[in-house]
Amino acid sequence: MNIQFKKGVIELCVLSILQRKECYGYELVDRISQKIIISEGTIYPLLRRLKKEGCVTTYLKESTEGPPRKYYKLTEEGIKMKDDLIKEWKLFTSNVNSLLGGDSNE
Amino acid sequence: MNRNEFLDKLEKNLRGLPKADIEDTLFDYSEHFTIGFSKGRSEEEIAKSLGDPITLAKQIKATNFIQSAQDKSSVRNITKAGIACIGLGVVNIIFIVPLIALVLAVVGVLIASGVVVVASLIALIASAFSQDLYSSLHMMGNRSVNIFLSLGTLCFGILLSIATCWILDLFYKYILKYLKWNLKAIIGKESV
Repeated sequence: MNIQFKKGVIELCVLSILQRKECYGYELVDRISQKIIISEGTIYPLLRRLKKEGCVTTYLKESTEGPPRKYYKLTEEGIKMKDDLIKEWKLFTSNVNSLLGGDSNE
Repeated sequence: MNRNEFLDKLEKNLRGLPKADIEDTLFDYSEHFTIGFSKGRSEEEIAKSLGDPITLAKQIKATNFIQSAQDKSSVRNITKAGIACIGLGVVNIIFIVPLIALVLAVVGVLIASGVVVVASLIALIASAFSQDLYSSLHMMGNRSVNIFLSLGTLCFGILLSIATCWILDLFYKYILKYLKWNLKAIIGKESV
């Protein structure tokens, strides 16, 4: 998959996944890398940035499989950012599709 | 690379960040190794999938410094942010040299306007209030004219300083924007 596509999309994917389900770091990395090939280590800097920007918060939760894990959760701000990004994404993809001749009304 | 080598390299390259941030970051990657290992992956495999710890550390530092520069405007903060981004290859060096020259020029004007303010203040006091100062400065000409002129240059100097401060503030904002934008582009690129 083209590098240019992936660039802006990873953040959108992270926010969307977190809205549907609060995840711990590894879980998030796992879900994304199943669908898109990424350098997994960069998810954590991304999460740190989102946390500094106020889009996500973290909390520790007990785990049956070992020490407590750090979970990530969207804030109001994060939900808003996600909505904005999805709007942009939908606009972008529908425009591209129509240029590719996906618009059958042409 | 195994887990300890990865975490060591990461920690070394994170130096310069606040201690809390370093510990936080190490916690994240440690946890990642722990969980991955419990799922049957080897340390080498996990380290490889995470990517180069030096690059990751640089990204984390750059992000952190940009945020600091945003939270508190200061020459130190914007310089740290700029240097971190240059280290990441995020900034085009050719762009930097004329930019620094421009900033120094504006600062020069600011200093000059400060000098103008002080000098015209002295001239004004000398012309309007102090005969002794007036003669010791060997000022010549009509005293009223001198008062008028020095008042004029005083106002000019003050306006100039205000204008240059405003320009420098604008520079700060735009440099920060540029760094953020480039960093997002680079981190996006590195995610693949």
